[in-house]
This record gives sequence, structure tokens and C-alpha cells, in this order.
Amino acid sequence: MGSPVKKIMLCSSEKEIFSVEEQVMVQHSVIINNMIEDGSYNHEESKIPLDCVDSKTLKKVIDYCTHHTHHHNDNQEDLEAWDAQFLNVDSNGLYDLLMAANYLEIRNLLDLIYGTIKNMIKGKKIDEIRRIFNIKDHGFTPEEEEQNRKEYPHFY
Amino acid sequence: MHDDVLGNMNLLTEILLRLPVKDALRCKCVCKEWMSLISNPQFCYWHTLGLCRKHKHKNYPNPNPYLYPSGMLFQRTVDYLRDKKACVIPFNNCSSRFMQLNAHVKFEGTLSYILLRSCNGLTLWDSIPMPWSNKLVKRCSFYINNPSTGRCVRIDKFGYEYRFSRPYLAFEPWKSPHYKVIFLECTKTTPKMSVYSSHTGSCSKLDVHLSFPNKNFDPCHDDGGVYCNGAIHWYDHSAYLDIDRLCFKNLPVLPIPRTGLLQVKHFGESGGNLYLIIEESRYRGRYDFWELKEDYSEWILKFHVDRTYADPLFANHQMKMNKRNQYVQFC
Repeated sequence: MGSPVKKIMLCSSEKEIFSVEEQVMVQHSVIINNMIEDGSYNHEESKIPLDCVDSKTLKKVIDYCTHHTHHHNDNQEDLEAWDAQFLNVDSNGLYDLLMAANYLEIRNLLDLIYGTIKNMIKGKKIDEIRRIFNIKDHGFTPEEEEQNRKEYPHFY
Repeated sequence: MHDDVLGNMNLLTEILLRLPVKDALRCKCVCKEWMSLISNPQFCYWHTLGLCRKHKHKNYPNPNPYLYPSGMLFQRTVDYLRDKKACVIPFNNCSSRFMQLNAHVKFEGTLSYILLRSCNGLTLWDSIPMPWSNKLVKRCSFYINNPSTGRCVRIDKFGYEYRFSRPYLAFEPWKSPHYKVIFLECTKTTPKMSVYSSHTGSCSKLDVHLSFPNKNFDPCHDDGGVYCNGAIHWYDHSAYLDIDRLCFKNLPVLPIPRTGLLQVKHFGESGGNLYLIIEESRYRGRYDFWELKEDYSEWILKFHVDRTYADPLFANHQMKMNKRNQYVQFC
């Protein structure tokens, strides 16, 4: 029957190797798509080193791409529910994912994470946003800060 | 890891661009970096574009047909005599009452400020002397106000021979971050046009030679004109003026008989479409919203709004305000 599924090797920052269907990564990651297209990836020997992505994050990214490749015909609600479950991680995990998606240029995953972080900001008070993003030094002079607080008390 | 995201301006910009206007403005106070990023005019432009893309345009079909028009903007007589404000009544959510706009300008007590037009989030205000004041008209100006940011720009009237011209506000953020005000000035036979551009901050005269579509047509004494998609439209005269090609063309008429039982409540623009609100006498209090197809071929009935549910204030003042169709605008 059909040819065996082509696989590619991804190597995390801990040098752990993940074997993924080529089609899955090509469809989602602009970077990997380019590598395959311009022939810089050799199926026999090479693996793609992802030095700034740790194993835990890489596994999640592969999960995401695999699910969205095989389930892209599912109805929108199911996919959204799956995405919500997928992003049910602590904030460090979320930022790791964001950096990985940015590095690999996975556009729908990026959009999904941007949207999630946006929702963390939306409707929040300034003090809460600073806490969420761990902003200790806001860079305003004490006078400016006081002025802002006086002018927009409902922001804080 | 947090520092990586916050230190990466591209990622941070992508996140902040997705915020609604109010949240984005509030986020200016989070820290200096966010402040400078959000205050950047390029950010403002991208943000506006993003909103347009979400709501509608051409390649991005509107996911929610009820998004436009989102509400009704109007001004009561007491408001322009005393408070310089206007009210917004949202259509989608009965519970959220009207909110108020304020033109953040140095008000002159002897002038009254009248909301003339609104176009995709910008409003155009006129100032005229109070009926009882004997002040000179010299201080009068037009104001362009952005209610979301409170920013206000003053345009001096007298360069533009105001007495004989009508201003039309043209702002289409999906085309350009700059707005224009088109002044249509009429002498006895032909109209003349001058265009104020926010890009240059100046006004330029256009030489036009036009003939009116019919004899009774006098755009300068008719406040019903509406700017939309590069043309000024007059429903009463079933005509529109194409500004790029500088010629008059005909508007289609409604597919229902035009009798005394029909009342045109409002003719206006919202999000790049023309709307006509009709009340039929057999359905008192129900407003039919007709939308003009983008190819100008016909009017399509979009939806109904029940006037009485909206607000007692709406019910009381609507009729009066609508007499000349002047102060009711979409937002």
C-alpha cells in the first residue's frame, strides 16, 4: 500500500530525541517546512537541534501539532475544548510554550497563546497585571506613579 | 522566562495588540516600556487595523452580522446647550445603559457644541454661539474627537467659508490611519469641494465641475448627506456623489412602496455600510434596518430593533431629535 510514514528527528535542549511524522511538523512549523523544502534536512542522518526548547515543552508542541493535523476536521467546539485543556498549564509552562512556538513559527499555536495571555490582562487592574507578569521595576518616577494613581484611581 | 517574553518587543506587541481599546489604554500605566510601546502611533494604527479585521472587511467576512451597527449615538437638546455630551445606546445588550461622550476641549461657555457626524469611531462636532449670546461667531470651530482616547483636534471654520459648506467626516481605518473632512460648498449652480486631511493638517481646494442630478437638489441645505466608502449619499434625492470620479450617480430605492405610512427615521453609515432606518406606521416602535449592498444594487432588510425596550430616555427624545435626522448617528 502507501509508502511508510516519513519521520523526522527533533532534538530538545536536554539532547532527548523525538521522532515525529514529517507531515505533522511541515504543516505547522514554518521553520521546519523551510528546512525540508530547501533540502537542508537529510532524512538519513540529521536531526533538528532545538537548543532553546526543553523536552517537556517540545513534547507538548508535538502533541499540539499532531492533534491539529489528525483532528482538523473535528467540529470547532471540540477543537476549542481540546485547546483549552492543552493550555491548562502554569504560567511558566505557558511562557515556555510561547517561546517554543515563536522559535518554530507555529502560527496557530502562537495565536492561541497570545489570546490566552491577552485574557490574563483583559479587565485586570494595573497592580494585578504587574503581579502576573512579575514586573517589579515599572520605571516610572514616584511622582509619575503618584500622578497616574491620582488621575486614574479605578485603574489600580 | 517572564523576562524573555516581556523583553521581546515583538511578542509583547502581539499580545497587547489583541487587547480591546480600553484595556490597551489602561496598560500604559503598567510600566515605562509598555507606555512607550502603546503610545507609539504605529501601534495605534496596527491596533485599529486589527479591530477592523476582526469586525469586517473584504477578505475577512464578518463573523457576527449583528456587530454593526452596535449602537445608536445621539444628542439631546439639553446636552448640547449645557453639557456638551452625547449618549450611546447599545443595541445588543439592553442592560448596559447609555454612556456619555465628552469632547475634551476647552469649552467656551458661550458656545454650544453639536455633534454633527460620526464615522468609525471618530466624531465631528460643530460649535455655534448660544442663542442668547451676542458673542462673535469668530471663536467657532469644528472639532474632531476620538471618544475612546479623548483626543481632540480643532479645525478653524473660517478658512473654509463655512456658511455655505457642509462638512463630511471620512475615516476608514482599514484603508488609512488618517481621516479627512470633506467640505462641500455650494454656489448657485455647481458645488465646490475642499478637503481637510489629518495627514497634512491642512485644507486643499478641489476644482470640480459638476451638474446636479435634479433641480431641487441642494446639498448645502440638506443635512441628510452621509459619507460612506468614498462617496456622499443623499437618500431623499436617491443620489450619491462619487468623490474619486467626481460624478453623481443614482441610489437604488427601497423594495417597499414609499407612502406616507413609512417614515425614514435615519439614514447613516456604520462600518463601511449604509443603513436606512424605517418605521412603518402599522408597527409603531419597531425600527427596520435596511442595509445597502456593497455593489449598490439593492437594499436588504437586516434586522429590527424595538425602540421601546431600549431606554425610556430613548423613547422620549428620539422623536424630537430625529426631526431633521441631524443628531442621530451610528457608532
